[in-house]
Amino acid sequence: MKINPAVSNNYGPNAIREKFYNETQKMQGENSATLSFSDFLKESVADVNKTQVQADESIAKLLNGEQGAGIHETMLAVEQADLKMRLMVQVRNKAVEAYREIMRIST
Amino acid sequence: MKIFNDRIMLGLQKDMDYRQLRQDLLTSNLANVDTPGYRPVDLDFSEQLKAILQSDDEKMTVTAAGHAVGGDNAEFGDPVIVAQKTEDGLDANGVDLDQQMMELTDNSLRYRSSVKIISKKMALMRYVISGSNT
Amino acid sequence: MDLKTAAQIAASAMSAQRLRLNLISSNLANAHTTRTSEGGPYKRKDAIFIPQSIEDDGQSNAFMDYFKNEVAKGVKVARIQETPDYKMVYDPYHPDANPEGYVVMPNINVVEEMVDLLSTSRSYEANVQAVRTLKAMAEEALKIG
Repeated sequence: MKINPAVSNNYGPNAIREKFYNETQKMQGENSATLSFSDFLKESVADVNKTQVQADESIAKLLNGEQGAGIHETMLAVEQADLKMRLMVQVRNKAVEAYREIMRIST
Repeated sequence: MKIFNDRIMLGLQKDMDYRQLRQDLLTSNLANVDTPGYRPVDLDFSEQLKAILQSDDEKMTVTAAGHAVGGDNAEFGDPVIVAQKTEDGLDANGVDLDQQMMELTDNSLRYRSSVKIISKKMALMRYVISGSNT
Repeated sequence: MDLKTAAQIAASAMSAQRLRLNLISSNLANAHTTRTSEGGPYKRKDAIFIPQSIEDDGQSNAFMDYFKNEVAKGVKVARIQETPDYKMVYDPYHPDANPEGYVVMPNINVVEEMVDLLSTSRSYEANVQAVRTLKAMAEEALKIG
């Protein structure tokens, strides 16, 4: 079902699916033989950092009282950074747990 | 370790301080709504905030060479108390009740948003440090 | 785009209505005033409103320029209009009666002024409600996190 984009919708389910598909294609296309998990992790960390920086910039715009800054925009940016960071922490926890699991097998 | 005094956290803290001062001024404007000859005042701290938010994270800049050291405002200068431009009523009292109420509402809202943002940042840091359940 | 512009518009409206209230009170109080400092009876006063742009603090693009200067405007009292509208009342014993026994009184209809008073008060309430709604919207935005 195609949702008619009367307003640009970057967060709808179709858009997210499309974005994931495109990014996976891109990563596979660059180096389809050696798509390493560590590269994926590094990119994710860089992305989380970028979101944090964007949230900081949005806060600075709000404090300076610039034209484009509204409270809702800043809250959304901060919340996004928050959620991404929390997701990354959980991913790290799971990765560490998986590693421990594997180490437990070998001994 | 620059967790709590990078320019954003400092900016947010200073914003809360200044807004609290400004609330005092605006409340005194309201209290003097009937005083003849009273000129309403306001606090302008946009320059200070801009300086803080642009400052290098490594060191704090001094705005004027002769500034006395000591007190939080020393590095960035003090905010300026400005007279509001208003039209006089019958008794040379320039206080427009509705305007002051609007400024009070706006000021209090921005204070609350700074509080909210700081608490979200602190909560995130606490979450990351505790690592939550592993 | 923040709360402040809309709140300033509402505040300007409230100030204008407050001034109008003062004028209506003055009209009501002086409904029978026959002597003023300019000579002659009291002239009925009315406020003329015009739209007024909220002063900007740096526009970022053409749309916001247009928005603030042409569309989203507050209100200002342009001037106070004095209407020399009189009626003749027969009262030969009044100190200001003319030789025919008529007194020139201001033509202030008390009922009309009371209705204006109601309308002013309702406009004021409506603007207060607008500000309250704006505040609620901003507080909801704070709840995003």
